[in-house]
Formats: sequence, C-alpha cells, structure tokens
Amino acid sequence: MKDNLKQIVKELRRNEPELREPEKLTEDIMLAIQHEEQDRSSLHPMKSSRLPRLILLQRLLTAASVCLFLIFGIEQYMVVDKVNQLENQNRSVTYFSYAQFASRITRSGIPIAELQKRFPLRKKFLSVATGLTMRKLNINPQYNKK
Amino acid sequence: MSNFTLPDFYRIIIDGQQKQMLKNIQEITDRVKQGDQEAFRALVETYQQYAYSLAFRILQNEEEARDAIQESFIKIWTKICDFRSSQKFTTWMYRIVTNSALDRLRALKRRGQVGLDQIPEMLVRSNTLRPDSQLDNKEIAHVIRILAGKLSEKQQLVFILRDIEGQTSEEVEQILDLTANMVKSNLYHARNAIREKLLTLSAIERRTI
Repeated sequence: MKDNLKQIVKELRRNEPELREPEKLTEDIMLAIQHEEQDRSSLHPMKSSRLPRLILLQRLLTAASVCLFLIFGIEQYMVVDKVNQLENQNRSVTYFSYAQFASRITRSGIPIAELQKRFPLRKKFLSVATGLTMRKLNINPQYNKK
Repeated sequence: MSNFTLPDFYRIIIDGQQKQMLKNIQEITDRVKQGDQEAFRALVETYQQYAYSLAFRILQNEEEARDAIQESFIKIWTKICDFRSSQKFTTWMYRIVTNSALDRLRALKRRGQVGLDQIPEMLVRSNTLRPDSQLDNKEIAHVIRILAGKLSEKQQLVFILRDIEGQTSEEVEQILDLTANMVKSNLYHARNAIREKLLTLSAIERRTI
C-alpha cells in the first residue's frame, strides 16, 4: 500500500493541472492591476485634501482630552483635600478628649485599679481608654506642648 | 579539467541557470517594487502556471482556482514592498496563493458547494492508478478530493504542498506558518489516512471483481 500511495503521489505530481487560456488570465490580472492603480490614485487626492482637517480634528481631540484630564484631576484633588481636612479635624477632637480624660485621671491621683473598681460597668471602656491615652501621650506632640 | 565527469558538468550548467534565474527574479521584483507594470506582466507570465497548479490542487475547481490566482496576483502587486530579497519569491507567492485559495475553500464549504460524496470513486480505481496515465484537470481534482478530501485543512495543505507540489519541509513551514513538528505530524497523519483510504478502495474493488 505504501508503494500504491507513492505511485499515486508520483502520478499527481507528474500530472500538473493545466491552465487554460493563460494569456487571457494574464490580461485579466493586468486589467485588475490597472483598476487597482486607478482606484488608488483617485483615492489619493481626496485623502490629501482631508489631511489638514483630520490633523486639526486630531489636535482638538487631544486638547479636549487633556482638559478633561485636568478637570478630573483638580476635582479629585479637591475631594481628597476635603476628606483630609475632615479627618484632621476629627483626629484633633479625639486627641483632645483623650488628653482631657488622661489629665483628669492623672490629676485626680486615683489609681486605675481603683477607677476600675468604682466603675465596674465601664471596666472595659476604662482599660481601653487608658491604654489608648497612654499611647497617645507618648506620640502626640500637641499634647506634650499643652 | 580532466577530473570533470558528465554529472558534474550538468550540475554546473544547472547551477548557473538557477543563479541566472534568481538574479532575473530579483531584478523583476525590484522593478515591480518601483511600479513597473511590464515587469509585473513578466512575473505573472512566469509564475501563473505554478500558482494555478497549487490553487487548483487546493480548490479542485478551475474557475475558483483562476479567481484565487487573480486575487493572489493583485495582492502580490499591492504588497510587493513587503517582499524581502532574502526570501524566496516562490515561497512568498505560495503563501499568498495558499491563503487566497483557503479563503475561497472556506467560503465554498460555508455555502455547501463542496460535495465530496457525489464524486464517483470508480474514477480512481479504473484510470488513475495506472502508471504514466494522463489525467485531465477533472480527474486530478477527483483523485485529490477522494484521497485528501476528508483530511483536516492543515493535513490537506501539508500533503498537497509537501508531497504533490514537492516543496521542502522548510518551505512548507514558511508557507503555512507552522513549526517543523507540526508539519511532520500533519504529514504523518495525512499519509496514514490516505493509506487507509486506499485500503478501503482496494477492498471495494476486489469485492466488485
């Protein structure tokens, strides 16, 4: 069967498909090429007349996109800035109350264990607040100044 | 000079002819790149038979093959600037022709115009298996369709290019944009499938006798 396949392949290779009327095909191809060339040359001036307008449009679009980016950027900056301001305000209020609380505890001279005994319901709150206060005392320069 | 044998002499002549031909092709393609239509005509006249042969073997239809090569030569004209002189022109051209033919084949398949079952298999058994038989275009188309018609697209192309068109494996790789292993495996499967087909055909023939 191997020989059979080889023989068929050999026959197929030997028997090349015959191109009928090759001259006609050549002429058809040359005609098609000329049409192609005409199409290309007729498209060319149209393209060149459109070119400045297209460039202008392109630049306008670029400028518009840059403006949009700027607007969005500024807007974003304003929002972030406001959020920061609010956060700072909040933080300062909290620090202040912590500081007041801590100063009262230290001024009263009552030990924390005693406070915990007197206010058993607030045990958890007291321990948390005290811990936080101590930590803030160490790191908060505002409080140190005061 | 006395050491020269006759085959050496022929080799020198053939090498010289090939070099001359390559030089001519390069000159022609250079001129075509500059927009010389007469050079392009020479190119078409030289290669249209090769292109037709390949397109016909893929499409198995004369009209479709003619259209495919017309389309291919238009592509060659418009894309000749992409052709690098380091490449082999026929490989580049075969790639374009294969793609055009393949597009047409797919379109035909979509339209359901490739009816493989309608082909009489007797044609293969009675006439074409004989050595030195002269086949016309229809018979060639029938043989290819019967043998390779049910192969996958890639297997069919690899078989046609490698075995029937006689391209080298490297050229097939370049034409179909496949790796060496893919070409090998597709060719192996194609040959096996065709051998099986031949076995079934010979079994049918024995039964009818």
